Amino acid sequence: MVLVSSLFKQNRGWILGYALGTSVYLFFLAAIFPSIQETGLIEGKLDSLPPELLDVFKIDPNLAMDNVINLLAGNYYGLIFYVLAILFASRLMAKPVDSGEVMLYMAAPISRSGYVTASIALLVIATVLFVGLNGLSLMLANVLFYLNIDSGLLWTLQLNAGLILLVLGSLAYVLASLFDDSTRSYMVTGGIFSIFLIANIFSGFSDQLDWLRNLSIFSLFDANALIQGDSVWLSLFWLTALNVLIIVSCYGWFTRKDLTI
Amino acid sequence: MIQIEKLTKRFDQTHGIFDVSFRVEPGTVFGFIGPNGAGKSTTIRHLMGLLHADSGKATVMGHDCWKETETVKALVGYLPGEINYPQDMTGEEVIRLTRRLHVTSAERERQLLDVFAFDTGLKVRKMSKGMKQKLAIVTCFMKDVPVYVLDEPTSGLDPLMQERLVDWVLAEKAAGKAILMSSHHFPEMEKTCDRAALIRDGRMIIEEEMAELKRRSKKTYRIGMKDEAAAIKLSEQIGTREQTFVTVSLSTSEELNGLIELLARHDIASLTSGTDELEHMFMQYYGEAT
Repeated sequence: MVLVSSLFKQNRGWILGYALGTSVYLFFLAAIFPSIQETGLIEGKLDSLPPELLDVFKIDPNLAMDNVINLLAGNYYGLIFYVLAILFASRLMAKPVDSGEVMLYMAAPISRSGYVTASIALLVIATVLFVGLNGLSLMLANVLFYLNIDSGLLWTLQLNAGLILLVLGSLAYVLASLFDDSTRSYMVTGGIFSIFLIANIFSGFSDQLDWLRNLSIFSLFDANALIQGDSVWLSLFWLTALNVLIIVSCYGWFTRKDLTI
Repeated sequence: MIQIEKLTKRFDQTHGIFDVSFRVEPGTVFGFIGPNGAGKSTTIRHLMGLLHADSGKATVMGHDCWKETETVKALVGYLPGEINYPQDMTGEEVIRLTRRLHVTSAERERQLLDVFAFDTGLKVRKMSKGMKQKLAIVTCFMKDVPVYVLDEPTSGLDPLMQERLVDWVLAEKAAGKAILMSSHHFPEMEKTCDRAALIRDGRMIIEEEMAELKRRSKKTYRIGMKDEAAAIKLSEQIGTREQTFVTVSLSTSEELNGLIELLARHDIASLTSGTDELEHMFMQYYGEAT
């Protein structure tokens, strides 16, 4: 518990920065959504864009302006969240190992598996704060501005977002454990995450490239499909299974790894 | 007590440590010397359970450093060679965290902050190298433990602080602690160490009592003469000449007395001593390594 609270204190500034920053962004977007909807300007803009481009960012122009969640599915959850999730996961899990800050804890009478458990606990806390505050800000906006948000759908979306954040975080941790060289570790982590992102975007270019979705973890978080009523349970199952698998590898790697810090 | 037996860790064909063995007894300081990349920190990392040996064994008070790492770390105060505290924490926060993670003594903490005084309110990112080193010294010795492992402990410290650290280490030694100290700073090694070893290319080259090392080491003197003719005359009797200077290397007090007698018969312009005894000896080994 000491370890978890220490790690949280050490990271709370930027964790809250990400969580509050994105929540404020979502709140204000939700606040101005009725005005945007009234003017019909964005709808007009979306209609004028080539359908291929809308496909790339998974935006359905017929649904996008129906509800703020539909707008966010393309705007926030379609791209911004992916990028934020990559930055968030890398910083939270890879940096302490890469920078040698982990030595502060490794010199203490703490087992390696104890450190991994504390790191995973921190990742869960950070994820709950991130997606939880995002969800709460939209709930608050819903109450204040009568946005007609479907709470069940919103929290399913947040659960799915949270699970993908956990997968990325634990994956960043495993990758950081694999390399002694921090630059190489960051490059590989960033490279793999970028491939996921690019594969996800390119899969929207044409039907022939649809197979690229299978290469990307982000395909397990398709906000538009979720809004259109597709079952989310398979994605949730795969994300949970991936999480368990990667967390087990975290223990396996980190407890055996030579640390040249 | 620290015991390392035939410890081998091979990173590749040439890099690593090979068959490293030594013991550090309670109430003694063991000096671990070697050029950069010789394997000092690699050996120390085995003691802290950070590296898993290919073969051989590292133990602290009978506990295996890899298998019983939690127990070992409870018995060891560790001062790392690279200080990488979280940049956004203040010195006070690092000390407070150390209190929570380790069993520490409030009295020792107070004494250490008196001896190695620095602004604890400053964030690590704003600290100079010397301040970070003092913070690491405080957090290392806050633990009242039977074993200390110090990797380059005086790195970045000013001469006054180096002297204070030497005094602190001597006090710990007197209290019966076993101390392993890696360093390039020879004067502090001479003052504190009872035994020393030199490691080069991952292999132990020599391991000896400090008194014996001093006895075997050579001392260099540089004698300045009035003119070149006087220098030539002296160099015909002893040493090697370079313009008006003659350099003489000696090992024993008998040789030193002989030199003094000889110099008394010459008109000397200046006399300076060269590198310290131990440093001179180890520099010879360092030179062979490069």
